[in-house]
Amino acid sequence: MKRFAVLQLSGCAGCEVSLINADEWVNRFELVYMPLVISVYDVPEVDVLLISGGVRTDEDLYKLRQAVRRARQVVAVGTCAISGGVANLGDRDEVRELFLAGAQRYHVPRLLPKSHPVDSYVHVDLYLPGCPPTSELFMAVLDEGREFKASKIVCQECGRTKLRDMRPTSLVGFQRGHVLPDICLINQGYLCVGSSTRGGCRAPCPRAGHPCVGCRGPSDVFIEQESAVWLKSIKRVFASMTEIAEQEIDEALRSPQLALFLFQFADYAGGERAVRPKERVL
Amino acid sequence: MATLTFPLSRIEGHAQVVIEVRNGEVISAHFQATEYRGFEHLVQGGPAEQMPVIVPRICGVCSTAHHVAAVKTLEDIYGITPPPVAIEIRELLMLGQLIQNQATSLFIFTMPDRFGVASIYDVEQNLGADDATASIATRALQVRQVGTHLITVAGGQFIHPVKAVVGGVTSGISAEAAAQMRAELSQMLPVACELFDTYWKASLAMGARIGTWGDDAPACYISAIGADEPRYYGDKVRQGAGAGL
Repeated sequence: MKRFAVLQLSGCAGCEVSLINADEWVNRFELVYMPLVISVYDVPEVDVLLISGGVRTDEDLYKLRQAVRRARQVVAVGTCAISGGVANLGDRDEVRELFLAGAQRYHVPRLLPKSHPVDSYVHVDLYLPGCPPTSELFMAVLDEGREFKASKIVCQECGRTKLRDMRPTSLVGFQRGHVLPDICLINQGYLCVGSSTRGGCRAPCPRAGHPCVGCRGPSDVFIEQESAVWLKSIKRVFASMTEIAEQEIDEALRSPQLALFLFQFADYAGGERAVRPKERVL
Repeated sequence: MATLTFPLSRIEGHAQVVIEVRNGEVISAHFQATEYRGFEHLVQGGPAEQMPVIVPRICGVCSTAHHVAAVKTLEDIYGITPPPVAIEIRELLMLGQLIQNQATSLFIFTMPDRFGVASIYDVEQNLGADDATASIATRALQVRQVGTHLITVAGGQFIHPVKAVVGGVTSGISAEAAAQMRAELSQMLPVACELFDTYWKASLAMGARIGTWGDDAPACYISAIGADEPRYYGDKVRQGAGAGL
């Protein structure tokens, strides 16, 4: 029976919770380490090590280095493990000092200057993006033989209809908006980035009327390229479907909620680090 | 003097218990939460209407409460009252959270202590499968699941909901989805009750075995209420008299 472990670094445990939302692995795979649900203190030898959360503290780094030695396959799970995640909002110029000073008031492990992705420090075999990835995606990782079919982009999984003659002239926020069912959210003036976001989640957010925030990261077409290419493609979609000024889209794309996810693969292309090849991203 | 540090498991987040011992006597014992999230700082300067999507990421177990709290706060600031149907849907969202949170807390976090095992997955293996323990892990996860399904129906995303926005919700619940959800809930209710009875009996046995349930201090219970009944979306808090209070 395949043995697997889940190492939780600094994060919200939503990835773990999503994993325990699936029950079909219980009798087929042996979960040997996951502090959220098991009282075991060290990571034993495992076939697969799932790592969630970012490397935020020196303790995270220590645990990470110890754990990967005992694993045959290492999977970075979720936005935080892939990019550092939501903790990176604390790295913005206007709040960095406040954020770091806040930590000093508590008895917590020493913070690193910045929240880092797991592969800043160790080799990662597979990336599983999503905030969090769905239970179905977790099963696709554990169950290598399973046939997993995902669309290339979230748009293809959403089911809303794109209209030619419904062209908004500015973005609407939820204060002004009233979401119509079944019609594409871009037609309605919402900043939905599902058109270039990686599919496989089955589009729960846009189906429920909330624009896709891009938590699965860029689709295969953009994943190995710098973020500018991804941003450009989103702007191109809005240019062809709406009358909204490019500058308005550009500014909105850089807001924290989207920036959090849009740039999660971006550091890697055109930078000093090796690109994460699309074959290694589920 | 020796200091013993025990990392804690089966909780959300990172924490430890630190015990100081001198000459075989315990001098002090402390619980320390060792994870700094800092959301109160990191969200500053961000667009207010994005908070309902950002703040659930504080905690993946109770994310729904953070989602709803953010929207309620913003509506309070803006002076907006959402339509009644939106409030009903948010209440369902909170109830879904209640189911999944209680199932997690009771069955996954604390039940293993009642049985003296490391995790819910070990119960059957270590104690043999009688009626009470047969497929206990699978059943516990199924009860959780029905809670997350309710969160999905009422909140869109399954862990970090998105549907509650300033002024209402982004979509309703179709009659079809509601009927399916109702059927699923009524199917799972007896399973949850049975698991709870197992929990209760195991708790009594543990109490007899080690002399405590681990919660001997007087407890004070509070609940959010509406006009005259518990409403998890309510703004008022009522305190119930606990033992000794």
